[in-house]
Amino acid sequence: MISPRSSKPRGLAFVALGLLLGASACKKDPPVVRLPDEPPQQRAAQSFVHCVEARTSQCVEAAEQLAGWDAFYLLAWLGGGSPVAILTALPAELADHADPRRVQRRLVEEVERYASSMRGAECQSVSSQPIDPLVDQVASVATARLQQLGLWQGGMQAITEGLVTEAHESLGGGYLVRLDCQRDPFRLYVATREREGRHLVVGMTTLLPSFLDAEPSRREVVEQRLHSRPLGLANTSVPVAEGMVHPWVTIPVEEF
Amino acid sequence: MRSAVLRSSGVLAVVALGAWLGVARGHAQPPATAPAPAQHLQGFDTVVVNHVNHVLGTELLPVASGGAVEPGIFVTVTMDELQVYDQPAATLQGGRPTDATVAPECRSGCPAVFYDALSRSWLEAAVESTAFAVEIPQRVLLAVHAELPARTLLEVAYAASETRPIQPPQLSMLVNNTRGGLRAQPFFLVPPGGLELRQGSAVLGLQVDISPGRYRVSAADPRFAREREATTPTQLQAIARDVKKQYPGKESVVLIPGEGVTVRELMKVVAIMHPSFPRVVLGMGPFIRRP
Repeated sequence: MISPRSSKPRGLAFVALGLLLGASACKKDPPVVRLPDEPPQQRAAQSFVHCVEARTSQCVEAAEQLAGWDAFYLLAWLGGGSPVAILTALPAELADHADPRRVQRRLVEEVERYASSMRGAECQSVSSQPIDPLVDQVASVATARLQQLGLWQGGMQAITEGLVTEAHESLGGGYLVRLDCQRDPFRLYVATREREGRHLVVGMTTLLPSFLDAEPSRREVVEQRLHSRPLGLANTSVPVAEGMVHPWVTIPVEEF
Repeated sequence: MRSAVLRSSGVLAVVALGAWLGVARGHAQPPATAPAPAQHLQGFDTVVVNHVNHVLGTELLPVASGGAVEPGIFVTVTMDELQVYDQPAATLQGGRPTDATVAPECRSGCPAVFYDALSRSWLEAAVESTAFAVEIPQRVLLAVHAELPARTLLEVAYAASETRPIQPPQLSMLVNNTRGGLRAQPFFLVPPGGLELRQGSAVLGLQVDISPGRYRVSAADPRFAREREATTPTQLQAIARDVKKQYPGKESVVLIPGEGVTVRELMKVVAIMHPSFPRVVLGMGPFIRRP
């Protein structure tokens, strides 16, 4: 009953099936997407960077999550920042610290400042360390330093102790993740904390005081950052002082 | 816990503000007779004095009259260490860097350890200026041991100037004035590669080359009579007065300390020249380039 016309297509179908099987046997296995083999805090930091690359400041967590990082950053500043800046700005910075919206604004500005640079910088997480011992370290350095410089008076003890408590309460169990980048900003430090099984990113900076930074940046990196757009130092030139000997020697020519 | 954290933030700030105002009030005011500084930051003098006493001792600073101490990055150089603010930044031995490798980026030929330390400090200042309500300092204040080789002082000053973004800083050296107070002696640096003078410019370009116990006085102006030499401070003082009589409108002198000259000797020359030529420019080599 089977007509030769009908048997011909069936033969073709077998041939086609054989070819298909043969072809599929030559194909590589479909790519399997695997999560990076890194600790969860580093994956969270890496995701944050990808998020910033795509959406900038929308990646910043709600304001109430961020006070601990702000406290840690202020302590690190007291421990390694410029005493001139501390004398100038500490009251205003502490006032800002008391306002969660301003704390959030500070991190949003930091993220926005570096967002466009981070897009092409190829940042990869390289290490992480628990943040609790770092809080104690910066507190200890800041305390010793303020005492030595003569600034440990008028309630500075209460200030540092308050910042330490806040940093521990809000960042406790968290990590500081370091990411190295091929281009500016070259390095990122991202703070994470775990809440209900989820790792949140609660802080970011591009530079830590030298006492926390075991591996200082290379000279070329520092040079490039000193002329970078995020720091507002790109395309800047020495203002010409009329009638002066030279920008280095700002003495009127007639007195030289 | 969230509300507790926020509450503690508020309390903290109130305590802190009150406390900080207390700190500011606690600092001694400058005496009424002192000239008003161009820029005064309450507490800065105290910080500098405490720091210098801790790492060097103010009695080891060179002696000069100087002016008011204004805020800026302060760099301390002892015979065995360089510190930027209070952070150790380079090791020295007998006042010279233990690693004298020159940074190729440093046009004046300063050692890499100084160049890197100062670059890093400017980067920290730049990052700080974005994070907090402050600006990148415009001044660098050098507190150095009086017996430090003058060459080291100049190398550090050049490193600070060549690495600052946008434009070089204003430079001052911390000194003890004759009444024992802490003052700042401002100075300029000959730009790396020297100054190019145009033909017919009205520049005198008075220069004193200093070697131990010997001073050679010359000038860039071809009409300047001749080179003169002095071997005592009195002779140098007399030459300075003579030159001032010939060029009463000139206020500046370029000082080139040679090998073996210490900061103390350099500052002696500053003091000798000061009544006639109060503006001081320091350099490490010939400072005039002819086009």
